[in-house]
Amino acid sequence: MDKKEEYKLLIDTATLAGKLMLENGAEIYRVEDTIRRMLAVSRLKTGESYVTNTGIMVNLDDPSVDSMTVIRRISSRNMDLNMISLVNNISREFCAGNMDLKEAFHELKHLDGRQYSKLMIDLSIVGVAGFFALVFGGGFRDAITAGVDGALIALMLRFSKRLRLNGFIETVLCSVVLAAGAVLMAETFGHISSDKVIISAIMPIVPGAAFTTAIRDILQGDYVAGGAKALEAFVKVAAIVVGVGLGMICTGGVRL
Amino acid sequence: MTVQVIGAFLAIFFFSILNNVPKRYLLYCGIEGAVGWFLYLIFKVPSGETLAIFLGTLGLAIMAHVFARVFKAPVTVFLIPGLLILVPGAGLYRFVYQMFFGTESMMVYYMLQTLQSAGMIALAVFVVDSFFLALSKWKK
Repeated sequence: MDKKEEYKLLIDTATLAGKLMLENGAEIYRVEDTIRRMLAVSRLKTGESYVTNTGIMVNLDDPSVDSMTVIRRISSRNMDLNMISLVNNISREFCAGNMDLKEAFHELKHLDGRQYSKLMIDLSIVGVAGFFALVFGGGFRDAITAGVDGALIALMLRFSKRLRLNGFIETVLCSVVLAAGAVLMAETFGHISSDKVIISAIMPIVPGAAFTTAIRDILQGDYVAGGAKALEAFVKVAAIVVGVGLGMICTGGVRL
Repeated sequence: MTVQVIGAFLAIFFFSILNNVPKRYLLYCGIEGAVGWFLYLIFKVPSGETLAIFLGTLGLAIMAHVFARVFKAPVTVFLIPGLLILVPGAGLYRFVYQMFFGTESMMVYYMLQTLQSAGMIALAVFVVDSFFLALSKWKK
């Protein structure tokens, strides 16, 4: 492989690593840092990366070769810490020289971080909703109700995945169902605080972590990415509120 | 309080599964969540909501860094799930809810509270990050 091809593969590998990290919820500075470290292996003069949460721009330049630039658009983002840790391991091995370029590219290309079954994930949604009711000072009746609400959310998520609804509508749908469920169950069984149930049941879908990451990005100096992330979180919460409001009105929980 | 701390442990344990934390670290993430919430509850009455969140996050972030060094994994893996217990998800919801259906004064109240909590969490994480960075440089 001649020099130029090697640089081309290096920039592709670094960008792929960055893309995987960004899509799975890593912070901006971590993505930029990973790309820069991998490019530095080439010992060329400039290896620069500029990352926002919707795209990656990478440049590799030196007086001896033509400048190379790669741009990638990122459209899907979620939280997957296993993937972040796997990509991190590969980039660390590569930078330490324990792994050659082709090997690193191959590993990244065929990376699969799934480790829990769909049923396990559904059960976790139930668990998160139920136990957060205890954290927020609810009783065991509240916890059970929130758990049932969690099951409804899991059901709606599966349903909207099948219909391929877009994210906003998916969130609204989940929230309508959980709010209606909470109000109806509170009315039927009594001694249940529907407010506490709703607050805990939305926890699996509220982007609290994204909001805090946004503030961290802003403190870090990544204003564009941080601002965009905060806005993303805000829109998601707005969808939840619209859904909850709708659900409560439909079941008579609030009167307008 | 015991119920709340146990609840925090289990809630964060399941939240870690949702965030696809590697299987062998699930337990440690849960412990972090419990410790974070325990610290928050202890300091809530004497030093106020905001400072309690700061101190809770401080303890949690230190644990995350220690775990990350012990298990040689990125800090994020331990930090994000643990933080979820203190992250103002409910505050964020209440703020937007008041904006749509409530009164202006309540909206401003919840907005400030949410921003303060998120800011405090970010600040505490920042402090611990910088401390450990300085520590690793100093060792060299």
